[in-house]
Amino acid sequence: MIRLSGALALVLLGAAALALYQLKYEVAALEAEHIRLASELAAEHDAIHVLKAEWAFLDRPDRLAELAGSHLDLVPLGADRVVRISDLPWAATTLADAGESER
Amino acid sequence: MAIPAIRLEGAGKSALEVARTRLVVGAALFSLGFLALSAQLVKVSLFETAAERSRSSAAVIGTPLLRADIVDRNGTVLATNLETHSLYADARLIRTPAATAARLAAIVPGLDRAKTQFRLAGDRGFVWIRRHLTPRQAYQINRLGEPGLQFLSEQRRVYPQGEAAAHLVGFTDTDNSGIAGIEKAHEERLTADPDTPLALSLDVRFQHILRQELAASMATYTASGAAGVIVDVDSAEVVAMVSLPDFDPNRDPGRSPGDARFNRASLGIYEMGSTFKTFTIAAALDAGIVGLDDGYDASEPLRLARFTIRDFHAENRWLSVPEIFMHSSNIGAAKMALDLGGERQQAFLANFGLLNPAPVALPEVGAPMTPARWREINTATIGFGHGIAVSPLQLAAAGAALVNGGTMRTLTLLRRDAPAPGARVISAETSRKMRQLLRLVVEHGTGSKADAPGYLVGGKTGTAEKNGAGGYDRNRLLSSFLGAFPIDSPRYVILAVVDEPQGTEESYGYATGGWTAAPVVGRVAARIGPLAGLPPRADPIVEAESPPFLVTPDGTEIRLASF
Repeated sequence: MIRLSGALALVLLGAAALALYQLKYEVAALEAEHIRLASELAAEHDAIHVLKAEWAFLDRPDRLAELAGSHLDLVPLGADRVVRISDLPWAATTLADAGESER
Repeated sequence: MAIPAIRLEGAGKSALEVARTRLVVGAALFSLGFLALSAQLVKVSLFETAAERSRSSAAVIGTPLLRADIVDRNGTVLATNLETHSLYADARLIRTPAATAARLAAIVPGLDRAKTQFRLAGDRGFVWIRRHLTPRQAYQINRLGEPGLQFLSEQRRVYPQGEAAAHLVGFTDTDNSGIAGIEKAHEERLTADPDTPLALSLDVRFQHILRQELAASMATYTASGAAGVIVDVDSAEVVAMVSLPDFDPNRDPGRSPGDARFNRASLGIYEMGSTFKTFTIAAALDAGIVGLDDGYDASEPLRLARFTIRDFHAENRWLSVPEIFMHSSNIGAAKMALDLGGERQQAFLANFGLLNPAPVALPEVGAPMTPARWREINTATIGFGHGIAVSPLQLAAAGAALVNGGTMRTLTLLRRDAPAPGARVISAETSRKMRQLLRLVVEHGTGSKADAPGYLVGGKTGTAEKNGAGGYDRNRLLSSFLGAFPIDSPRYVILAVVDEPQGTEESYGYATGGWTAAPVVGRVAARIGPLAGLPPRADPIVEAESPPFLVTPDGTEIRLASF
């Protein structure tokens, strides 16, 4: 009886030691992965910050106006180009409600 | 085989008993300890909450910011921190100072070669070579492979919008301390809470439009400077503030000329001239001294003390109140101011914040210049805007209170998310009459060039001679236009000021507010109207039941607009 329980305890001890060893290495690997991901995340955050600044720089109204002027046929929106749905001839009959809710 | 029975007696037996008891106690203690450990293990591995487990990943992400971003009302970045590389040398490790200095000078523009060589030849462990290098320069220096040259990672303030809001945002010194504008005024807030951007009331798009139109007028009339302010009349937020000439805060702003760094919109104070008549008439109407049907005799110059007050566009006849405003009669405005009296005038101007510095958090705020003793002659001249000097920012804020129904709110440069409380300064009825009069000036008077079809601009021109060494100078003008749109229920007040414009052939030699500043306001209104989501509208119906207050020689009846 005593011998049996002793053997069992020995087997359990061995199994526990093995499991602990395995676990320890797994944790170490995960930690390394965590550090790598965290530093990658930090680098991405820094990159986003820089890109935001660059975006603001490229999105300057004067630069956009210049580019639009040289590459597009668009003209500034004048007051004469804006018409209310209700001012359109057919609006009063059929589409007035839909147009109003869309606007 | 039998186990021989061993019997211990006496002292031997009791010693064994003691040993056994001790063993049991020790084993029990060990068991308890292991039990506690097991319980803890089970608890940690099975019942720990997610929040506690993720503790380690909540660590600071990315390079910590040293200073908060400054953004406009829509979140567009106006100022941010970027990481840069600063080069320093350990002079003890540099073996060939001359060659190193030569190679550095080839990479870093503007580096003094002789001075660098001298510093590298010394034996100090730390000498700055150049701070805030570009990534390309840092890369090239790294490639030199000189062990004595080292980099320190620093943060530098950059302003993606460049000149656009340079005066308002301000700038920092090399060590990232604010030394001008918002950067200085909100230094504590920017460094205390670096992760939350500071949102200004400014709208970059409006700012760009105002700057562009002012620059165009400045170039056309070869002016020495210009300033402009756009204020949201309901919230008293400054959505645009421009001062020209300006500077690029990214390029060592401390070395740009003082004239470019001078904020004409908030620090500059000017005698505004006729735009001030708006306040004289509003005060007289609100006090009930005159009605729109009353008038004054402007047939002869007004003599007061040793001064003579004349009209620029002299009509030489009796003028009604709307005509005084429309033709910008100095005589009429002076007489009205005298009827109002100095005390009431002073109280009125104080209510509109024209006697105290603009209440905004900026280091560059000019204090108005007012007469030390408010004599009768001061009352008369202030009636048409002379003898008092205010900043454009103050004038725009006062203009907002004049047209918004009569509520003066505290001006702000920061985005306002909750409505600001205000104090009533004139009655809603007076405000309505003033809007009608302002519209009249654009429809029939000196401000016709401010008209923007569909956006109903109203406003008042001003042309003041600047006070030089020998009195007022006819050739140095300050031309301005204080406008609001859409004038029947205003959203924005726009003030344009052009400093020392010169007349051109197209303007028949005139450099008045009507020629130089009014078109700026008209064009700005036409461009920001669609951006602000204001639908263009037809002109308001002219009040038919009211009698015409003026019939022009060709028979046109001029009436006030009704709204």
